[in-house]
Amino acid sequence: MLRTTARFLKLTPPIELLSLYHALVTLVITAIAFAVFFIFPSPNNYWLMLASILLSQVGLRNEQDSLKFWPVFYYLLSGFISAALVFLLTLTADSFWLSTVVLLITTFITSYKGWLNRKFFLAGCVINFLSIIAAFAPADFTVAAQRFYLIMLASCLVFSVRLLFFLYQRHYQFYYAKINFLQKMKQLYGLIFYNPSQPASLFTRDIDESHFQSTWSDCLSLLQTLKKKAPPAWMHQMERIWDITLSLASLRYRLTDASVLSIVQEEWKQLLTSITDLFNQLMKATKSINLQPLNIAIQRLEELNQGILQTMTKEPLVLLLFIQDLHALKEQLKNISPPFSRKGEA
Amino acid sequence: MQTTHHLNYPLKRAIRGTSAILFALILNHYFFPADFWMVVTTALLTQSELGTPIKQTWQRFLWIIMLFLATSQTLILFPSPWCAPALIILATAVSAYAYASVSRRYLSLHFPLLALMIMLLVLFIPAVSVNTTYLLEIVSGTAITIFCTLFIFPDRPDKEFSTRVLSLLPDLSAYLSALVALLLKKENARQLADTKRAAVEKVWANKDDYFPVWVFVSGYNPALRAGQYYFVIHIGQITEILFAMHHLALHSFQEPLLLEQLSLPLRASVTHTQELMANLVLLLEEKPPIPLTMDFLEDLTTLEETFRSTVNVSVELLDISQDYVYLAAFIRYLKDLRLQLLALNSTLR
Repeated sequence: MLRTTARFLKLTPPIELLSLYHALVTLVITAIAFAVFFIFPSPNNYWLMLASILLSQVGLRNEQDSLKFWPVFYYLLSGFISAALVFLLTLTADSFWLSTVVLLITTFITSYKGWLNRKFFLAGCVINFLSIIAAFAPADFTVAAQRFYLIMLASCLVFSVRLLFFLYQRHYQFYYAKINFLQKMKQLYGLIFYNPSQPASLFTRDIDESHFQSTWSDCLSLLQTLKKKAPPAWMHQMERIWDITLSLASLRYRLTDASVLSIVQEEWKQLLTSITDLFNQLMKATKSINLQPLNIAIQRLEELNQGILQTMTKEPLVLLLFIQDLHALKEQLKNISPPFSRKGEA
Repeated sequence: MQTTHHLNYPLKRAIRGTSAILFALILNHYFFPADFWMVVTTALLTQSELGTPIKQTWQRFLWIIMLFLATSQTLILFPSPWCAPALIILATAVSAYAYASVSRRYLSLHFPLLALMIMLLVLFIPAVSVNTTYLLEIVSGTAITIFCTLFIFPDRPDKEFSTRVLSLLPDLSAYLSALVALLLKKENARQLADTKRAAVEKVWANKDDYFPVWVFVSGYNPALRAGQYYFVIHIGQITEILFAMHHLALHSFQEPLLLEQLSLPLRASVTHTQELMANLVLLLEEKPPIPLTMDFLEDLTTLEETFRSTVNVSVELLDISQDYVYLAAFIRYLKDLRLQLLALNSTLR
């Protein structure tokens, strides 16, 4: 059983299961808290359960933090603050005005800090929540101290489990960020080469611009995550590919004449297919990536451009620059750092 | 990038939240002294995001009611001692999975956590049954939240929109200057361009914190939405243009003389573009704009003519030299940038 678990944990799970890892971590914390709950029964043990389950959720803000070590300490800090406030409010709960003042100060500070820096938002919510529950459960010093220790125990439990999983998982975080980034880039290209079978709709702005913007800002966020761990040379190339991608996307507002693209439907589809395929190869980290299909697609588009499109379109420069961007993309992919090597270039 | 412009909004939200809790505590003390549901509901509902606070309050209110009823009914129907632990495990697992899966989606971040909180309360706080008193408390908490949202420092999404966009525009202007310096191969241009780029990237990579993302949420004020949506999209396109220009500016030109000949008209164009950006800032600050002393595209026409006369090839033959193509692309991007800024300026005037 242990060997199977170790083997399972050593596997690199598919990117779609990353969320399950978070669920798994939370379940482990819940299970341990439950074990304590049953082994050491006490009327106040529900504080351990409440605190451990809620505190386990406060750290996951965005992927950029997932590669850093120090957010793991959020759990301890949040737990300590919660414990102190619960202790204080348990003792003052009998006095309405005193407990009200403490609660109001807590609410103000947690709300202010949470809105000032969104990283602290959820921690603030949980601290506030636990404080309110304590303010309605008056008790004596012994019980207050018990609650304090239980919440501290909960935060130590959450911290320990999170730390173990962090140390194990950070090896894969970079891998996940990379795969995520490449998947998002594929989506972005899907939007750039949108709906090739109906080129007219491409320029009636059926593209949801907000979706496009949201996709590229997600890519940027993932690039920021990758910057922390990626080799500088690889990072530089990814940034250039990213820049070229946005340059290719400029066609959507530059090319005003939709009928031009009706001539290049097949080439458009080929371009999208070949670029998507290249990103798939990058995701699989294959030893060599095949640039031949992209090369052929670009050449065909170039021939059509020189033969027909330049004479048809009002702004021949736009298509010329688009094709040059495709060449630049091909060059960047050709020169991409190891372990990706290249073959199939002209 | 500074966040000092955001100080007022967090303070307003903190005051609003604290006031709501104060009202809830006082009402709770006189009408429902033994229970906490009014205060808990108020605390959970006051944390709505900018843009659609009432809609979010209603949505969360419905969630709380449904979860409360579902959990308490389940405990009544299945009084087995294993029911509560099973519910906890299920709730925890589903919430954790949902939270991690949708954590980037605007507004849905809090629902799993909210669900977990309500279920845990019902499961752990003993003797909860479907009681109209509890439901009345939840409704009262919602009413307090809506009252405070509407009357205590109500959200001003138009002001907040201007504040957030205003913080980005100077970064974009500085980035443009750095890119031109990089193109002209000035000393330390590369580090400067990277620094300015990082400032712009930081905003877009953390959109939820620095950008008016509520513009895209359905249910947002339709009177404000159209104009702000248009603005945000064009700011995004301006950013795309600048990122695309970075790649071009890094190119090693084989003919540095070409750059020297274009240097003056290029700088003039960039100066005029930055004037437009400065005007945009003034318009967003609701100050009178500086009267523009130039024709909107004249300097770019001059730049294009200088380029054509220097290069002396037709468009079809432009790709005989990489330098020509990259410069043509850079100039074209300057033109795109200018058109975007003109569109935004005319919208605001």
